[in-house]
Amino acid sequence: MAGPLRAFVAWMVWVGGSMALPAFPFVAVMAGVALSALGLWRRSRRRLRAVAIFMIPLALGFGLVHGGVVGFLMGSPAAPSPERVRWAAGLWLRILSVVSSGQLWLEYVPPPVLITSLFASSLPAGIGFLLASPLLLGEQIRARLEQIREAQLARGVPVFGSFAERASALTALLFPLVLGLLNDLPTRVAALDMKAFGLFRRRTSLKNAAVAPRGTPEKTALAEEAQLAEQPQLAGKPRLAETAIRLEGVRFIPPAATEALLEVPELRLSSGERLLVTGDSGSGKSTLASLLSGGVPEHRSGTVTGNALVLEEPVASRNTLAWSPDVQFVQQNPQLSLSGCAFTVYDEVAFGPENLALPPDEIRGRVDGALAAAGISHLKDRDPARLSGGEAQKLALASALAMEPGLLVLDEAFTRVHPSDVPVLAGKLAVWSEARRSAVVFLEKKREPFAPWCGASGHLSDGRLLPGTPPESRRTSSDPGRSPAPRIAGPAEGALLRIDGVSFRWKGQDHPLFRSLGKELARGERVALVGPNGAGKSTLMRLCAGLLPPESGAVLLNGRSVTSMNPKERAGKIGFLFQDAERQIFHSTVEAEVLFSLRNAPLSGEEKMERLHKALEATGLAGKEKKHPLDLNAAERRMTAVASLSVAEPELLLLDEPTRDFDARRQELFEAWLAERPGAVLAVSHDFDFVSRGFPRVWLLDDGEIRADEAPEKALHCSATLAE
Amino acid sequence: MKNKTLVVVALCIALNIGLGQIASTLKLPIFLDSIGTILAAILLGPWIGMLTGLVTNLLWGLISGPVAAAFAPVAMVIGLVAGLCARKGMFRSLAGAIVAGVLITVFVTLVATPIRTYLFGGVTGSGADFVVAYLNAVGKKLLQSVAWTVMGTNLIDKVVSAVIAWAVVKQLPERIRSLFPGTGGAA
Repeated sequence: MAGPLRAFVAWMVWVGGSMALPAFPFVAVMAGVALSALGLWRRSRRRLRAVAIFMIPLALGFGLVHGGVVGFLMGSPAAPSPERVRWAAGLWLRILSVVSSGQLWLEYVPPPVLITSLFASSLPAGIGFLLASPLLLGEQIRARLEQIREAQLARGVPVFGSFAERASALTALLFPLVLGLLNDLPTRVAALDMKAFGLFRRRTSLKNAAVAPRGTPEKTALAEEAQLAEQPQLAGKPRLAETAIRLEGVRFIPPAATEALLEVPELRLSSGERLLVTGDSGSGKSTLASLLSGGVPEHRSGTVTGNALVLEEPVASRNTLAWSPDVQFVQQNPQLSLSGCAFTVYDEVAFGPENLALPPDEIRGRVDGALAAAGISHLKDRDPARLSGGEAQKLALASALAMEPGLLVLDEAFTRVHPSDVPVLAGKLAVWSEARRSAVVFLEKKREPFAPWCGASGHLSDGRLLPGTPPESRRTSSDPGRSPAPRIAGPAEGALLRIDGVSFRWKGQDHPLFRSLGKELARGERVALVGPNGAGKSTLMRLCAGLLPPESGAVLLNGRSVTSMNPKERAGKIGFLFQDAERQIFHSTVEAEVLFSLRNAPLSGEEKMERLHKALEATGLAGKEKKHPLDLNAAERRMTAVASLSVAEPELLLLDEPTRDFDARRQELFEAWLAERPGAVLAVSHDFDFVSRGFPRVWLLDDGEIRADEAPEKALHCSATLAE
Repeated sequence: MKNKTLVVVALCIALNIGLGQIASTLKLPIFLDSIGTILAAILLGPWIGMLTGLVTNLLWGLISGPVAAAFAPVAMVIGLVAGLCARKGMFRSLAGAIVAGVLITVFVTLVATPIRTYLFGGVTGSGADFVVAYLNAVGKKLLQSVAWTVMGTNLIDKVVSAVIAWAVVKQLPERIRSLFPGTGGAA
């Protein structure tokens, strides 16, 4: 703390001097000194601009208000008194002195340094949190706003244009942003609780302790394995509890409901064992996870009846915060589990153990072990906000492992991890759990690849947890007989979409992402776009949707350039389902949200309602018209966006990873819906079964080119090879 | 302070900063940088509203320079007045929200005017200076000229902000609303 604090006190003294001393000559000299220091120090020189941008208009303003300029123009006889001019000039110098010295202080103590030193100081950690978290959230808000802007633009909301249009666009941007942020609130709070923030009065700070080497930056997989095996020796006290979970006749009832949302007749899990619970979206997996981590009623309102013991203690005897040293819960969205207090991956993982006030050496050992177990040792100096989805999920896992819980609950914690990494992680978790005698619960949609690592399994269906494996699912990936045949198999007459010599590069990049791409999509044709991560699949979709302008070439829909159409017109012809489809939602009922897509359509009220009901029927949302979209589960929220596309009946559907949140039942529903669409479809997907069932043609995008334009089997084989 | 309160305050501060930036990118003639403060005040009361305003301006100060920090008392009074209005149940209806916006403007004027007059000589370096200079030249005292200008530039912004905050709270899904039992009937 010493450096930044001393600098702050020095600055405050300077501010006091600038305010109290006579303006001439003292403050004039001070302002000169501060300004020249700012200009002479190389690091701070760029800040002169900020001073100039503020001080020059201010000087003009002073001239206007105190220099008698307006009076002179209006023919007022009295010139300003010399005292007033002198006073105004003095005041301007005082402000200059304060502002310049302030910029010097800011350069000397940039926000991350200030915040880390606040956390290391004896001040309450809450102060550090309030300053750090908004700064780190700012990044997330900007990214989210960009997604919302794009989604609304694709729906035809004019984000640019006349004042009235911009003002109306404001609500379409602002409401999804604010409601979305507030909607994530319980998850964020639970994540902070889970990191034991505020559990003890004192916390350890690694920044305060003498700096110890953090290990070599590069670690081989072998070294990680070795470290993992050593980890038990680093661990603290052995767990005493023999039984990790014992639930008997447990029922969870939400407020103002009579029926249980979740019912567990019996469930037992011993320490050191692993349990796999499968269930569709909305079947109660997250509720179970929340219950096991002490989240009821604080983070999930409702009551629990029956006998619920975790680590041989009634789960209701503590809240999530008090359970955090013993029970860790990793939820689906990794961005929401970030502490909002750490500027590097290493600090993020260390944050929880620091809050447990452990000795610094033990914290370092835990962090290194956890990073190795999650396979992200190489990311330790990265900014957590800038990780990919899969990396962020591994970070969330590492943060939980560093707490060394007796029970670890993973609620679909691997959805964004590359499929080939998931079995590796599951295996490492099994080793970790055996070695530490910790129990692990996997809550997943599918049994694979977790089943081999789990001794026990259960299945959630309509909120009821029963032991054993689920009844055979209605469709397995190797069953081609049931796949809904696409209505139009090959290209029909004429090209609907023409990608004509499109080149594109991101701003500031030397290397173009695409170089004169050329491709055609016929009316009614279905094409899947596949390729490795970072190949530019989503970017190509945005180019096709007219959301990004190409550097050269054009994307033509029915012979017209998509970038030349206005957003409203484009939205009537092209429907775009984004990866984060729920980000566009801003109405408070499903019905209003879906009808929003028809607001400009020349249809009668009756026709609109008819389309609405057909769309809700097809997406399985019938009966949920009056529900708040944000009260629905992830799969239903995505279906709301699908229904919005459905009613507009566009000629071209662009789908970016459409099936990510779907369970088997909804996937079937979605595929049936898709087969019924009369328009052409271009879809990005990693789900090879989905692609081979519904798409006769595949474009394989790699290295800026569409390499293969094939029947699915061959292209998918190619893509799988590239992914490795 | 509970973690829930901390997270709400942090989100609202980030909103203030984020929305302030949207308003300037959309080139709208309003600031929109206190919607988060008003929201925090409605959801968690006047004291938390004040805290949100204070930290918002301290952070603005860290990002852009010390001038924003000098206006921290203004941001605090927005949170205080909005929180008291919410306790009186004024955020229950659109009309109430508009009245709350007007009240906030009045108190903002009371606090901002002396800061602007005595610390900055009534000058902001923006177009508002023409108005101050004009009023001053036609015979109003400097303090009065500044007060009228502050009132004029803030009235629309604060009413719009209060209405947006009201609409957001009204649209909150049930699951979130149940986390804030004491919202003065606003929800």
